[in-house]
Amino acid sequence: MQRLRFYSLLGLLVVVFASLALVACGDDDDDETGTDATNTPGSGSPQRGGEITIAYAEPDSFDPHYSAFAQDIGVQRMVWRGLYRLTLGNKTEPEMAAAMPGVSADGKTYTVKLKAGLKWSDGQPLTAKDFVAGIQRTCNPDNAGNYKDTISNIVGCDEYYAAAEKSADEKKKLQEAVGVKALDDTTVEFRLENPQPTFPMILSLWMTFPSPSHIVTDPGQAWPDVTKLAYNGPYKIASYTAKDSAVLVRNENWAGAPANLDKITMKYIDKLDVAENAYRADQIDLTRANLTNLTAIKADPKLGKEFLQVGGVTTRAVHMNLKKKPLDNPKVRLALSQATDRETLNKVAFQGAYIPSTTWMPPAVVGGGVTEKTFDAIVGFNPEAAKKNLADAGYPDGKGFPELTIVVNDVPDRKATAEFLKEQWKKILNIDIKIEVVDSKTRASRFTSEDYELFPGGWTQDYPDPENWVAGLFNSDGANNHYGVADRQLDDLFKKAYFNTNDEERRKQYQEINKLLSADPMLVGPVLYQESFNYLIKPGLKGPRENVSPLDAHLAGDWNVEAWYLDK
Amino acid sequence: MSISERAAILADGGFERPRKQLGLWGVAFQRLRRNKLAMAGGVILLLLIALATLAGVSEVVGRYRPSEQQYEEILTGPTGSHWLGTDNLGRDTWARTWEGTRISLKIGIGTQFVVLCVGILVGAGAALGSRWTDGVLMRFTDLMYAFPDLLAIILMRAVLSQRDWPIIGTGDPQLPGLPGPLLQVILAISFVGWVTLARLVRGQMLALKDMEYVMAARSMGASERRIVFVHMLPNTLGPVIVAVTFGIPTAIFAEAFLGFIGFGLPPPTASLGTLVAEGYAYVRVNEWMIAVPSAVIAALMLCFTFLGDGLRDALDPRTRR
Amino acid sequence: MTAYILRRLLVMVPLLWAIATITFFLMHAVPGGPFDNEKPLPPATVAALERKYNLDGPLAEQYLDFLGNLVRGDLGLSFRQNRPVSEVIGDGFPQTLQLGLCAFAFALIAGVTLGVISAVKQNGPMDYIGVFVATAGAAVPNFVLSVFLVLFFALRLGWFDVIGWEFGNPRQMVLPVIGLGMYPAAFIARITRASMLEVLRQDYIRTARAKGVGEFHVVMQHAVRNAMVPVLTVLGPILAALITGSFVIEHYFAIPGIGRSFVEAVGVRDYGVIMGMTLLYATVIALLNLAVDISYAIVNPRIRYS
Repeated sequence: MQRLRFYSLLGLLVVVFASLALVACGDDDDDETGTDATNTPGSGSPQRGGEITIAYAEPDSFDPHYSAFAQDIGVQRMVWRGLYRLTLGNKTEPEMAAAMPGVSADGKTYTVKLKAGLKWSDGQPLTAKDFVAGIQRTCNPDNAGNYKDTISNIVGCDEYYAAAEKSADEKKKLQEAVGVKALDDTTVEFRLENPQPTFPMILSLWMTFPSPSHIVTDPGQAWPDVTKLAYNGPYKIASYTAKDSAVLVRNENWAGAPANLDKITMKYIDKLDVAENAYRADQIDLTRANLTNLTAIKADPKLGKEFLQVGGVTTRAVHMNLKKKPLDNPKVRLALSQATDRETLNKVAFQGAYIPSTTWMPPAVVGGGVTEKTFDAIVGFNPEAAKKNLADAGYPDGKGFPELTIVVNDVPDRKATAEFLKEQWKKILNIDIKIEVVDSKTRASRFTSEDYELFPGGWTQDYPDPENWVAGLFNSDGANNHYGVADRQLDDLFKKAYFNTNDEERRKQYQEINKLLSADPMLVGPVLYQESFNYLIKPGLKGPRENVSPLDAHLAGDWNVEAWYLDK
Repeated sequence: MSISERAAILADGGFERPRKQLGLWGVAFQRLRRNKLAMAGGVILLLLIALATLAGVSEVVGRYRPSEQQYEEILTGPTGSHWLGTDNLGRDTWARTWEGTRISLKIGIGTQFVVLCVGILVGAGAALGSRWTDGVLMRFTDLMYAFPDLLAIILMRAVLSQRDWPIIGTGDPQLPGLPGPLLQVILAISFVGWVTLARLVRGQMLALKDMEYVMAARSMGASERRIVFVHMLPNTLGPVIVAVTFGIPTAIFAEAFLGFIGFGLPPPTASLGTLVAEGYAYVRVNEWMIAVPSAVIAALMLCFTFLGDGLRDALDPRTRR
Repeated sequence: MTAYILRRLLVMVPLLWAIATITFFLMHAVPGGPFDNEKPLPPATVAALERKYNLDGPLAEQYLDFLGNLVRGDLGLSFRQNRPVSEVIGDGFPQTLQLGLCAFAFALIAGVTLGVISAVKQNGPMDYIGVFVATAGAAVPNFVLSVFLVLFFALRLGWFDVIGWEFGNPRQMVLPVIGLGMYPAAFIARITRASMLEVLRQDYIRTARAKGVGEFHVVMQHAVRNAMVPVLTVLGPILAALITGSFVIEHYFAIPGIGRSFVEAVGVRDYGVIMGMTLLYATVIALLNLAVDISYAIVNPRIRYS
């Protein structure tokens, strides 16, 4: 018996390695089917009908006046729409509105006329009152909308939002004082504290979507079950099973061109590697691609063609707490930035998926001829200059430099970044940093309590305007300024730019701000790269690839879901 | 994962009374030596420990510094210079696996050390103390026994994580060779792990209390302390050693589980769990990254199981072979 | 016996209270709160949200509120899913239970069969295979096993689905059940084999054989029955471990059970779900422990509970 088990030990090792060998050559058989996948964008005209299943991250909430997460916003945008829409070229166009808004002479009052005959999915009329209700819900203290700050400029919104402890009567009064009014069934009037040229753009965002006031009668009331709601977007939610799936079907009452697909099943899958397995097994038609397997996906003759990579609107940087010594010293920040080889980082940590960059605002947003490489000459990889700058800052060859801690989320990307920086900075600057891995809630709380030194963070754009990359983040009175940034020059510029109605001038001001942030004195900390979005799309599914937009919340082309169709 | 630990003890009749006392250890060692499988497990285990230790101190065996990044060769399979390939940052899998083995063994042994201390203290306290002490300690043990163990481990890991405390946190001072995060993992796994051992020790002690030789010692005027430390504790050791032997790989599994769900050790420290988790992420690009640490986990698990089986048979007077 | 069971059930009340209390303070000791988002919220928003979910008072007050609600059977709201915790658990637990029970059935049937066969055919090829499977099954963590199962049987051979759980559909059930049940199956096989070998050496088996009872009858009627006693005693902990240990499997096969909610709940500080699941799992474990103790009494008549 003893001998027998001894052999089984040997046998086990043989089988472990044999199964590995099988797995190792497991991808070869894809070749057989790899040739018929063709991806000619725009081939054929859209066809009605058909069903698809897509991998999706489960939303936190279906309430557009509450949500903060990309996956929430993605699905909300499929089933509700606002007064305006942003085209693929970032132009603001009427969606539920009949025309562009009328603006008063002082720029503080916007009047929007709705299209005639709008209806909710349940057949009830969609009126100006519903849009008013939507704004009121976002500003409502009991609903506590996550994106209230984006519409803070509407008169009375902040006061209402702060009224949590007040009596019902007072709340009612403050609700009525919010500067949004239905002049008649098809006219909405917005009153602003300050003139804001980006306001119509904001009226295309989820926190301004209408609320079905025939169902949700009070703004403080909880958002009903999705099957009891009414929708005004191209799709409506037919069923939802928590942790499992949601089913979207065409909304026949949608005011735009009818959606092509009959049914979209969103299968909730937590992790991209699982989604990739399901995609490979033909259980789903569309998913975000699993970045850690990028090399394998690109090398695969079939998947390589179904793969889509688009530049996104997320910038990643190593944030530095400017209140902590020695990070308050611009020379130290410069030395750390110059000791960071972004090209190699991208190659090894992300298998080349991202775009190495040194500008905080993405080139497409900031304009003015800024590219990813514009600031390389100042802050780009330059080991010799890095050593010199660190010496100039009082730490020759890293002597006396304190051991800094970099706080990262438990995400392969971020961990790899931290490990890379630790190794590089040790090699070039002879300084030690400590890596602390925390979950995202801990990381976030450390950030808001400003209890950190370094962390690889960044920003994802909410709407395509440079102000979204500064407002609240780096102005010294910004609610989310936990970077220790207090820069007089930046504050002055920002104050001028934020309410500047001269578009050309304000863009120039933001370009100057971007330079302060990205290069000199590099208030953001070293910018590392622009993140890209990566997807896998089955060849028969058209639309996601063709309608890709930087506004896509969670999946390719989800900002324009009505245009998706199956090419049979 | 603690099925084996809990159930093994139940199945093995952990509460049986050892019948023969004289020369127990000598006989047991003889029996163990005759058990080829257990010896094979022990030898392979020693070999693994030796390799892992040597790799940590000698460049000849370790070949590379585990955190050394070489960007020319990333995510490769085995080559002449990297026997087991490299990972996404160009680190050598051979060197990292041995580091992981060291860390995982530290976690396994460290956990069992904590479990042993708490388990013996509680178990012996319950068995030897007053009725009241027994009641309180056993109610507490029951409470921890009903605590869902994976839930408790995850929760404790989250609670302990990232405190700036000394020793068990990331603050100074730190124990040499046992940095804070490692202790956090050890404590999280021990949090409910001691329960089985406490029950085992109590059962053994209660049985021994009424044994003839203990009564004989007592009647001959031996002090209570002498009875406990000379007559009773050594005789509970057999089943305890077996439980610990099964407990070590169980703790290694638990650590791997923590690593897999994202509550593992901070990089660049490698444990077998974090290596498996990293390997899992890159499974399609470089399957060696998951295969190698998995194979080491499997080998450790088997060696400890065989050794534990052997020890149990050797220490259990009932088995006839 | 009835009195004993009743008393044990009564003891569960303070037990669960103690577990709830420990869990409550542990989970609030985890750094970070439910509204610390990756993309930070304005402080006014966080304050409003904390008020909405009743997280703004002192911890002791929150604890008393929680206890009060618990007594009324109200576990509160899940922040993450914005619906009652009882609903979250009610939706997910059936799948988790199905998975756990199927894995248990698999472990029991496969484990006992393997164990019996390899004991009866000791040192024959079937024994080799049986012991090999039993050893291999216990040697790798279930998430590693699942990865290889999926890569090979689902993706390479296409026999099974990669994701989903539909009760009764073998394409979706086989892999997760094996993934979860392999380790206990191996464990049961080891115990069965050892126990069978011991029983087969007993005198009454020899007597039965000598009396000319057929070998099949000897094994099935006499040996297996007696060999099952030690196996029975481990079934309680195994079942508890299977029902409460399906996190990774549910996650990897995208099964909408509650197992995968827990890791996520700790991650997002969804206090209600953490508490609800801990209490549910503790109840399952406590009940199964009771069942084990009762089964001891039935199997071993010398034990008397009073």
